[in-house]
Amino acid sequence: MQCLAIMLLLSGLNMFYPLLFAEIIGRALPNQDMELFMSCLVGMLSIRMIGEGLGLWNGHLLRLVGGRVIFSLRKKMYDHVQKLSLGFFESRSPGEINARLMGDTASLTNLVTGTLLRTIEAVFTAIIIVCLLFYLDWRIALVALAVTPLHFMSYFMFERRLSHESWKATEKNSQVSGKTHEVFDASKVVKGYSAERREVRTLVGQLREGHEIQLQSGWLSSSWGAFTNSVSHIGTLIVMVACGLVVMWLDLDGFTEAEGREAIQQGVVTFSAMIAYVGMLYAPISQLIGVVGQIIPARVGLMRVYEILDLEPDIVDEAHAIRRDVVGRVEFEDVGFAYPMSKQVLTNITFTAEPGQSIALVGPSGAGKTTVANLIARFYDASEGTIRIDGIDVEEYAIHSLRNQMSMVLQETYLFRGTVRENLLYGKPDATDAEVVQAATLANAHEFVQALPYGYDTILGAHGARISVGQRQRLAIARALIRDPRLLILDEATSALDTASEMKVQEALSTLMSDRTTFIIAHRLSTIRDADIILVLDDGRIVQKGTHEELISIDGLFRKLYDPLWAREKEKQEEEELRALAEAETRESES
Amino acid sequence: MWRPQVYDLVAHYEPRSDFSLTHSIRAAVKELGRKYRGTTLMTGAHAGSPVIHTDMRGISIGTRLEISRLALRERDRQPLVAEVFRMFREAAERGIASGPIDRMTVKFPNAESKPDARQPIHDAYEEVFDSSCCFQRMQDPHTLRLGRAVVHQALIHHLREDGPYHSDHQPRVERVHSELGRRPGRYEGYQYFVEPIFTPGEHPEVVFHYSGDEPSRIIEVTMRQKSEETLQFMKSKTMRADPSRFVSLIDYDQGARRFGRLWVMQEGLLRRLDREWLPLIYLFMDEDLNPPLDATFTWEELYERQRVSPYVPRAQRLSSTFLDICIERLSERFLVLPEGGRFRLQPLFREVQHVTFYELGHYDKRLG
Ligand SMILES: Nc1ncnc2c1ncn2[C@@H]1O[C@H](COP(=O)(O)OP(=O)(O)OP(=O)(O)O)[C@@H](O)[C@H]1O
Ligand SMILES: [Mg+2]
Repeated sequence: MQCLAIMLLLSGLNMFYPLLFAEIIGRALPNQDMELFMSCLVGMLSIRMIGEGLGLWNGHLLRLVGGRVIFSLRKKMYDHVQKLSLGFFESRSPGEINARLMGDTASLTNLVTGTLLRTIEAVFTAIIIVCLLFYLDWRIALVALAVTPLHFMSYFMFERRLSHESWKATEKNSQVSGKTHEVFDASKVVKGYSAERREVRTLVGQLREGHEIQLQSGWLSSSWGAFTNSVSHIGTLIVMVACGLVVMWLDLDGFTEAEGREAIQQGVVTFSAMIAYVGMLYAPISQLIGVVGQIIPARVGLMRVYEILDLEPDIVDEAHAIRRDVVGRVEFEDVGFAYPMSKQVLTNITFTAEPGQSIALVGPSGAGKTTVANLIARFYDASEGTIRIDGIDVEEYAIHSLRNQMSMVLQETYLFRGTVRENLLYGKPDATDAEVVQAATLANAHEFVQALPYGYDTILGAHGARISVGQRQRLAIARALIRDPRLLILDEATSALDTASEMKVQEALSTLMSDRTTFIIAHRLSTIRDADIILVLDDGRIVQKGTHEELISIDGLFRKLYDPLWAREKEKQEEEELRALAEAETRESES
Repeated sequence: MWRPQVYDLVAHYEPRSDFSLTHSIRAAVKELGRKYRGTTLMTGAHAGSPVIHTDMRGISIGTRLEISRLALRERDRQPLVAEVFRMFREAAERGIASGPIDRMTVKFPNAESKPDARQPIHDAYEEVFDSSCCFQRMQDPHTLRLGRAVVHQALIHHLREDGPYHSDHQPRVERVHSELGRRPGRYEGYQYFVEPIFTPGEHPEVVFHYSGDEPSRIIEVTMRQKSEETLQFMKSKTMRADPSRFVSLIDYDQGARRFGRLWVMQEGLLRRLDREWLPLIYLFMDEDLNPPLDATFTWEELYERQRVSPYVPRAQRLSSTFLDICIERLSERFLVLPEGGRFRLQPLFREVQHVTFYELGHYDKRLG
């Protein structure tokens, strides 16, 4: 508001400038009036000085406001993005999200710092000037206004093309940033396939295109500017001609010579003021057009920002979400699930896990084991059926309350860039050193961590680079254990360990598992042998259920998975049976 | 009649991992531009001659061609657009683009609500590509994507589940489908279809068919043993004679699903719905799920109905924001119309179709 007031004051002040100038030309100089001349000059100087001062102050205010707007937009966006479900992150590359978060919001800076206010100022100035012109001489005012439609016509000619170019430029930027992110992330793969050259070539190609788009959009916006300016110049010229003609054709009959001179002088004063005003009239119009040129990229940025802000998180807490400690009884009742945009992954999953039990999920790759775990952690909501924890629908819990009481060791271990200790503390930021060491010991990690150059203060690379995969897994287990969760989900948590290390971890876990519900997903038989219940999944369904002893002795998928010799035998047998059946049927139908 | 109209047309081509925008391709595009030059008088978003760009799509690089056309008279529209389509096709055929056409978009102000400006594009498409075409509304109301739709049934049948597509059969179809994928060697050489058998008012049934030159006992037996479904043989000739009787497995599966995204088609325009918004439609219906199309309801009345509706998830029944969101989303899609503080279902609601949308390049691929 303050800014607006200052701006209006500024433009009001500027109005006087041409008047004073016209006084000098028209009166002070011809009449050799020193006093008038000096006071006009002083007046003009003070207008300019005051203007500069106000401008300075205004600029500061604008930057302040603009900065605040951008800051709050980024904060809002970051908040929002964190709330979005996994599906969002799966469908976009991190680099692209980042480009929107930082780049697109930045392009809005121009819009808030000034563009809006300057538009108001320009409109205000233009209106005052038009009034003044009509007051001074309506005929010439009409001439001056006659060219303005040309200005606005240019808008229709350039706007769509320019806005498309800016969209392309932003899009290209975000593609490039997404790609670089991905390539750097997968640097090992890129090098492993010696694809560095190829990646560089792709990227350079993209950069070149980006450059061409920039050139094109620059060319368009300067052509637009040049077009507008030319219209203004032509307009000014026409006005000058008109003014000149009016003065030339001034009807002096019936005037004395002195009176005639006086009249001409009056005309000159009016017209020099008018010409100055006409210049000032076209300036805000050009400025308006320039503003449009600035708004266009900002609008593209805004659209891209809102594309994300408008996404609603799939998983939200209900109004009276429950927050409470859980005991750990997990029930699935007829649960069905399909990932967004893909086919049914789970069908009719029903089981109950009592507190303290350990449940093993086994099955061929792609059977849906990880998906079951995702549903327990509420990374997704089930599409059919209900999942209950302690008898209450998971959808009624506050997400954070629930997740705080469970730990997951994911199939793909992720460790942050930072020290070993920091990574372990991620599970429980206020854990003591003793707790850290204890968790690491349980996970059979203490030994190797101590052997690292700086022990717990060794810095790991992003994704846990610089330590082995098995070591990473052990750190991930430690990170999960440190929170002392009620529910523990281990998705292939020990798959990369050698049998001896796995045994050790297993032993440690079994003491821990006694009083919490644990879900173990594994392909290796040794990992799941001792589970209380083994659920065998195939194609999203539970096909067998029982303990190891029960399952290994009967025909079925479990035995097929863990008794390969038997499985091969069985398959051969089945094929023979099918053929026999087919033959029998053929014979039957023939006879 | 003079009615200027600008179309911004873009064709996206299928990506290729070894594509690069070489000088010879640039030159070829220039040449294409000379052949298909048209004016826009600087009014379109693109230039009057084609401009080529590349998009990184995953690991590969796809190209896109952009061009604008200004049609001054109404009867110029279709030929001008058809010309552009021919150019798009030529670019794919001559290897200028990265691959075959994957999808096309057209943009003009308020495209969503201008059926008569859409029609020439539709006609031009059918003329050049000799296949049906429909429009999908994109995020903004000015851009439409051209694609093809498989029409299942009227949306109302889907909502009431009293049409030929029934979710009871969806798992069966999927079982057959996944069995086909599991033993590809055994099942190859034949085509597999579903025949929905349906008389209004009764529970629909499905029959599975496979067609080829000769019946195969081993296929029948394996399928019966593995998926407990019976396949009936049908000569390819018989099949081709009456194609409307049969539906591909994938289309039946899509049409019978009661989860995932939902596409609806109104006046040749496709819009996507989220299933979460559907409860609102049920609020407009009576107990027998008949939509009284001329009845209007106030917000309060709808809220009253929502509180007791079995179609609204229990947790949302008391939520007024839920109702607001559903109203907003369905009004944006013209399924619910606000009318002076009251709401009604769109008068042509019975004609709204439940469809599955495919990008141009994906329509044929869906059958594998
Ligand atoms: N984010 C996702 N979006 C879409 N489909 C997915 C997604 N994640 C998994 N799927 C699909 O769901 C099915 C089950 O996947 P899931 O990860 O649960 O398998 P899994 O049993 O854990 O297999 P593995 O032993 O290989 O880890 C697979 O067919 C997979 O293609
Ligand atoms: Mg998994």
